[in-house]
Amino acid sequence: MEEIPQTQNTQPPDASVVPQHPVINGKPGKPKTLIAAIIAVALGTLIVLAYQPIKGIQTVVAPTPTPISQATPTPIRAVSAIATQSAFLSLESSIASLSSSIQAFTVLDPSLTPPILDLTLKFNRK
Amino acid sequence: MKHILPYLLTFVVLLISPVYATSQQAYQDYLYQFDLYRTTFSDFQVSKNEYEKFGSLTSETTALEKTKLMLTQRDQLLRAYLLLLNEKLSESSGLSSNERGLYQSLLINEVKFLESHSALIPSIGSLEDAVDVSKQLESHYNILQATMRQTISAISLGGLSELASQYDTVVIDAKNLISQNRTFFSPQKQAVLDRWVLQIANKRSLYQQKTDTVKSLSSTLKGDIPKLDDQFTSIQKNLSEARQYLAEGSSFITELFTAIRYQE
Repeated sequence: MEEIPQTQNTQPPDASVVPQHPVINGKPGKPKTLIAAIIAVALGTLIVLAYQPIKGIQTVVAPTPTPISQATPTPIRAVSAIATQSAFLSLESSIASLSSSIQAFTVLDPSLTPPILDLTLKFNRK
Repeated sequence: MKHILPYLLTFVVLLISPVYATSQQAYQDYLYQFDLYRTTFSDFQVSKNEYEKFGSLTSETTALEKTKLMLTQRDQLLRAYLLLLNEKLSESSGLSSNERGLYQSLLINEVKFLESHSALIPSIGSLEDAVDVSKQLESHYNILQATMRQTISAISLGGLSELASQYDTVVIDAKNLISQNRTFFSPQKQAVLDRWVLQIANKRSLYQQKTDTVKSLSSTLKGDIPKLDDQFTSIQKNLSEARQYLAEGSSFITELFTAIRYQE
């Protein structure tokens, strides 16, 4: 914006000459007010822009570290002397075999489903 | 002796294998007869429709021929199925010889009926004769179906009985093992093991109740097909529950063995 040159005016103003002032929105406005308004808008914009990153930084939450659980060892159970006996081992395999046989047993053999036949002849003569 | 042993083993295997080959063979024959029956029944339906539509002598003669073929094949099919049941009965080692003999005699009676029924078919001279002969099978059909279902129930009971026998052997051996090694267990553990053995025996009792119920229901199977189906459904349910009790008991035995394996 060009500054309006300040000239020393010793003579009274000429009534025919209209002083030149900038027109804002169709209305004449003071230059100082305009400058101040522009500066205020600029400052406000800068403040808003500066606030956003700060706001963003403030919302970032540092992750909390996962608590490390201490693993406990599996308790070792003492094996009894019976477990090494041949009778026990033989029985153990027998029960395993029995369990699998029971699980695999089909209550009704599907191949034995009886045939259901339509027996009636029903001749309808003319 | 070493030279003879392989031949001896081969002979023994050949003796055993025909048992399974026979029921498989009977099943294949049953399926074959069923396919033939479907074909003859389809031809019968076509000829019957043509006769009902046209009413000509030719269509009547064709319908009579197809009806006779269908009736013959129907008897063949039912006979093949009864022979299959017979083979399965023979293979079921869980049945006593008396039980097996009872059901096999029922099957033989039904096979004889079908053979005598088949003997009537060649003498059929008219469609009315064909209807009369067919009605003889119709009037006997419910009894035939009841016999079939009784035999199927018996075969299932035989399979379960075999498993129960193995179950009993394992339980007796487990009891002997515990009683011979009581000094290895603390008094508290002995009490726990004794309690568990009682629960295992309880499952066996519950199984026995269910199989007794199945035998009772099977002996009273009679009525028309829908009623037979209802009764048979009840038998199936009890058989499933009996099997479930054996499964639970065997699970308990596994737990018992795990407890015996470790000191505490």
